[in-house]
Amino acid sequence: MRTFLLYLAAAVVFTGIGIWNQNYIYSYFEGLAFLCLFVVGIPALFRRIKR
Amino acid sequence: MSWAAHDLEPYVIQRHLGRKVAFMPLLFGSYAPDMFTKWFVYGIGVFGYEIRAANPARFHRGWPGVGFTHSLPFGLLVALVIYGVWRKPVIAYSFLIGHWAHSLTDTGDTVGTMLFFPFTTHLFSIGAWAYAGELGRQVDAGAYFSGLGFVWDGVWLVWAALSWKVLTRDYFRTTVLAGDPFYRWAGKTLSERLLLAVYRAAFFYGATRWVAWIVWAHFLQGSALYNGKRYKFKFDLSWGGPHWVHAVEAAQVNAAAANCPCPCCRAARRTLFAYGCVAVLVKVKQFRNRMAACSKAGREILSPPPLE
Repeated sequence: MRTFLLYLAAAVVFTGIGIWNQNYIYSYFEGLAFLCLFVVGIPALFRRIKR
Repeated sequence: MSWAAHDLEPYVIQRHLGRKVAFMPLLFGSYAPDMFTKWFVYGIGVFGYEIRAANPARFHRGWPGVGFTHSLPFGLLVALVIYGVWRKPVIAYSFLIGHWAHSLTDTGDTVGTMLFFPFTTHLFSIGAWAYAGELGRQVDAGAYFSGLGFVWDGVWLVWAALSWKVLTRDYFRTTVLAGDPFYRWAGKTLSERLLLAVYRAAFFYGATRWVAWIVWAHFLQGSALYNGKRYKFKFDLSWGGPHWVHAVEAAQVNAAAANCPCPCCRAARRTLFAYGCVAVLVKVKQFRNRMAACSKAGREILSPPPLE
């Protein structure tokens, strides 16, 4: 459930960014980079800071 | 052209073919026809200069142009090259399935695709939604998400959502990793969490951009300017619409399509529309059967038979 909520939050944020500036929703690679950053990179950073 | 279908189709294909296909080449094939050419259709600015095709529709789908990237024999040729390099049939035919899915999906608009290039430059088109790539990204997006194109993408979104099991970790471990040499190779160095994000990214991207463009076109922006003319994004779900935009037709792109007497041009639209309706009805029936089975299973779980 936690993972699902994380992906859902990523989807909401990315949709918001896309509505705000459509230049971010033209390419799959932008979506890929954003998702990897949001669901892998940022949580990993938080875990490291917490330690 | 389709704005989200090419992102979502691979998941539906994956659901139906399971371990028989490799997901990464399937996805790559689904993107391949537009991968190196789409930017030139809309144009980009470089050091203050705009680089753009003089005739975007002909460049994108026609001949002379790069329309051959949408032909079925071209997909076969690239698949053979892939096979020659990697010597793994699953990579080659997965790419081919993705490529052909893209080529066939793009026949839905008013320009269509040269499915049998180089044997013929004929553009096969169902003409369900308007092709407006020559009017820039924003107007094209507004037109696409106002006509049947966005319904078509919506069908793929729902179909992919119904195939949600392919997005789970268990499915990825048992089926995707087993069938795809790329993920097995990447799994040696990358974490499973990252691989899963990469695997789910196309679904994520397709679904979010579909929502974002609809919200932008119909709830926030409502219109866009191109060359001094303002286009208002009104829903028009009629065949070949929206009609507030000038749709490029196949006959304007390739001379071979003008007054073509072939059975496709004369009757395919009606016939394919009828086939489409039958396919949707079959899918609805299958969905209802599946829901009934789920409901029955749920009832049995909630009210188990009394113990003897």
